Amino acid sequence: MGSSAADSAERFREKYARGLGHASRGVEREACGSALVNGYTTAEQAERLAWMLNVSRGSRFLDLGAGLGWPGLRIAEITGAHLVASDIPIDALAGALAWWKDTDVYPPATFVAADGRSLPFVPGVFDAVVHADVFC
Amino acid sequence: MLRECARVLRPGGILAGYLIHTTPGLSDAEEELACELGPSSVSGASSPHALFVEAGFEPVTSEDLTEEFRQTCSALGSARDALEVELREAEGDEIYEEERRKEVDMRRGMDGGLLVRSLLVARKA
Repeated sequence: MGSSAADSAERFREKYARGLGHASRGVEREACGSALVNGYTTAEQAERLAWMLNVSRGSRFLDLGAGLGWPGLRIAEITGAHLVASDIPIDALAGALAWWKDTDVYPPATFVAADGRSLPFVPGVFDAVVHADVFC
Repeated sequence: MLRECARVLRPGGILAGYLIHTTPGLSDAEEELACELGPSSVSGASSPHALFVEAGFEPVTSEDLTEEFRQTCSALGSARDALEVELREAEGDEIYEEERRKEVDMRRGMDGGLLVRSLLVARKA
């Protein structure tokens, strides 16, 4: 990992270890239309993405760099497809799991700690992959 | 990472998402400034399409969402201002200032025509 990528990974690790407090969630609810938002993808953009993936109940999709589970959880909720949420920081996935448990519809989901540059999945296992401001 | 996405997708599977990248055709100096102003995940690739094709994808559609992103950054900035006291208490002054600076920088990047946020949808060939 290059120093810039390593710095970025460390910043995200610290951010998620710190957790999103009530005030931070208030900011994202106010700006992006949902307290579940984590990042720059608004509620409307998450829904737009859901319809473009062409997945439904019985499909499986990967949210790469899922952070706290946004927008993957919302997409799973809309489509009924099985979400596999993947990211490096364990604290992020723990947060995503906590949000998943709070989701009314309770979409099927699996949480996997992994580096997107070396994914622990067999070839061809996903029907779709979604990402939000991850690639660098 | 794109190659890994192609590997784990079934043939015909969809890769879709949002990407903040630098505007195509920038000079070296502009490119450097754009990367400084962008978030930590900003792509330095001026042609994301080319990278996707190189990784084994066929472009399906793309949409420039920079204006929506500008509005999101403005809304985030306004919301952070409104909750400044609570945020400084919860996050500390340093993180508050850094987050606020990031939003201002990204707006500068977009206003200067250096940064773009796109929706890209591609299909595994």
